[in-house]
Amino acid sequence: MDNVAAKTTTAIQATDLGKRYGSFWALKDCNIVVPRGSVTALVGPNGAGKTTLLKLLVDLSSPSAGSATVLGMTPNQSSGYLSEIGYLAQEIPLYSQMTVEKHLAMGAHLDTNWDNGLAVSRLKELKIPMGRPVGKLSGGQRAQVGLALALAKKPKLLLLDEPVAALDPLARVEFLTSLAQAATDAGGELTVVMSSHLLADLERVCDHLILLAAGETQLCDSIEHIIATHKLLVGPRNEATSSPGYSIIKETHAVNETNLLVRLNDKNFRSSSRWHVHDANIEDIVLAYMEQAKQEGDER
Amino acid sequence: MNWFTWEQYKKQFLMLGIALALYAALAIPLGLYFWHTYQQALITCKQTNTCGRLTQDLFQSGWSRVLNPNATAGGLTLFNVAILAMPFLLGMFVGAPLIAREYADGTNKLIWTRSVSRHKWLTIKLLWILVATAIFAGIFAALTTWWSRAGNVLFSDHFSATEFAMQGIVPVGYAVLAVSLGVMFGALFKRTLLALAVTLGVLLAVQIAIPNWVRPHLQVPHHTTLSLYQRNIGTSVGAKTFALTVPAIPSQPGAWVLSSHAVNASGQPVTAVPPACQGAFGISQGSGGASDNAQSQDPLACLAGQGLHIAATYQPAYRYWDFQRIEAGVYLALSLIPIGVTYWLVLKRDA
Repeated sequence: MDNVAAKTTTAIQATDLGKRYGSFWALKDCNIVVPRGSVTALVGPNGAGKTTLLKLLVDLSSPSAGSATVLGMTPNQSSGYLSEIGYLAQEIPLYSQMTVEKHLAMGAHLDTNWDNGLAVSRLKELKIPMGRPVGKLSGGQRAQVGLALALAKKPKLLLLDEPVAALDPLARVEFLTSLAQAATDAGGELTVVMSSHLLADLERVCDHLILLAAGETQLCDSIEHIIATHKLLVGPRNEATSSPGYSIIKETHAVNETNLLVRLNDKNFRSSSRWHVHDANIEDIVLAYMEQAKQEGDER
Repeated sequence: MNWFTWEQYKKQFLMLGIALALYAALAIPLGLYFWHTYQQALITCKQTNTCGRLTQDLFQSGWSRVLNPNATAGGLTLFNVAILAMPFLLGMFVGAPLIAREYADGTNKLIWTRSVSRHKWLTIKLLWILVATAIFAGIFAALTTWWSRAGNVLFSDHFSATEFAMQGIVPVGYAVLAVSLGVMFGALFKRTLLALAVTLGVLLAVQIAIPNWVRPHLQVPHHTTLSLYQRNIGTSVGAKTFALTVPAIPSQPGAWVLSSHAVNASGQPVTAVPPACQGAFGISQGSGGASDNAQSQDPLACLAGQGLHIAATYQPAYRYWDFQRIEAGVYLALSLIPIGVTYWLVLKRDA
């Protein structure tokens, strides 16, 4: 019973997943669970293994350790598996000599569940010239073509690797709007995992967050829950800061006050009257974890 | 996948078509002209009873330089080099970029995440390219064979290393091997330029190794001995040594001579000039000086008088098509190695 339930509610489960290049671990001990229908942000500093993780999930790369289960299957190169996954690589690779139309024809010929009407209407709406070689399109237009190619596959899981990194702010907003629209249209049938450094952008569309840093999974939860369990405590200087009620992620001191970013261990934690409890935003929380991971990495 | 492969490579296929058309436009008039001239000369020489000199006559008329590079001092003509380069160019410019370019542009990540297995993608791509290569090389070699027929008849040299590689079905096998190697190195290095250079190097090595060390042994050669009283014996003389060679066996027109050297009456190889012939060779005999008689004697006649003759090994002309079939088969079989390695590289390695 448990297994069946897991299959229906979990899109991705990775257990101790790792990838080694020579003696260097690009990804290590990655343990994540991504629920079906979620839009998950994959964040972390450069070199944390975000690209590696996404490549492992679409079997462009094979794991050196651990395992992953995606939509109830082990990632593989079969048509049956690949038709369920939409993937957009970081550099948005397209055949630069080929026109947009030819790329759609490619999808129509090669993809099992191809929805040409969807791709055409999306791109026409964005006024992308269908007859032009993609090498002559702007970066934003290329990203939209890449997204259209991934979405028109009608995937159950969409993996996007830094899709907005190279885009100007306007194109970035347009891209994320398209993505959010697509996720809404799919009505919970589509799971999205998108990596980025741009936290503000992710907050706009994502409901879950995975934070990879220092070769570990630091966070993997719904954003709502992360916000609910992390607080900013402001209190007097020179007072013991540790408490069984929380774990300190980041501690900073000003002239006469101490700031703590903490993860609550106890849902009913109440601070003493000398401490003020504030909500933290997701950006602060993520940054705190990244700094902590960096310090631990430096100490090692 | 077939549609997409066509879409992806139609420009290359078009270029290959144009190359064939250009070659045909050159080769067909040339072949007709040669054949016509040859037939005319044959009629004329019968009337004047000079057919024994036909080859030399046509030779002096200038077109033999194209027909028979080996007969001229210059070796290969530019035209022959261009024809011999065909498999190399295919390997470098069709084979090497095939997969290397996908890696370099990152498009492998686009195409390997469509709903087509990587295995199927590779199989269809390879089939199209290798079949196109075989068809192109087949037509190309057929044109070469056709326009070379006058030269083949006149010079009986289609077993020579150059002509053998240009005509018949061997170019097809070699082109398929060249493209397979190019594809493999492209998949290995993921960079077109490096793959292209290594492909060229390996192909050159194969093209040197096979005619020199493999082709002569495809079938057990025939042995023969020749008297020294004949034309076309090549002589080279050292301090007190000599060597004799024959470019052809008179009784075996079109045969491929593998080796030839002087032997004595009991069949032992001879390299030292016999004392009796040192005068004929103009070698000073110490204090005494050579006799007038010996000095005026022809060196070959002197050697023949000492019981020497030439031993030669050769592949007879009738084996030509056997050799063509065997060698083409060897190249095709060898192609399976790079093709297999390519599958392994593409399917097992990370993108």
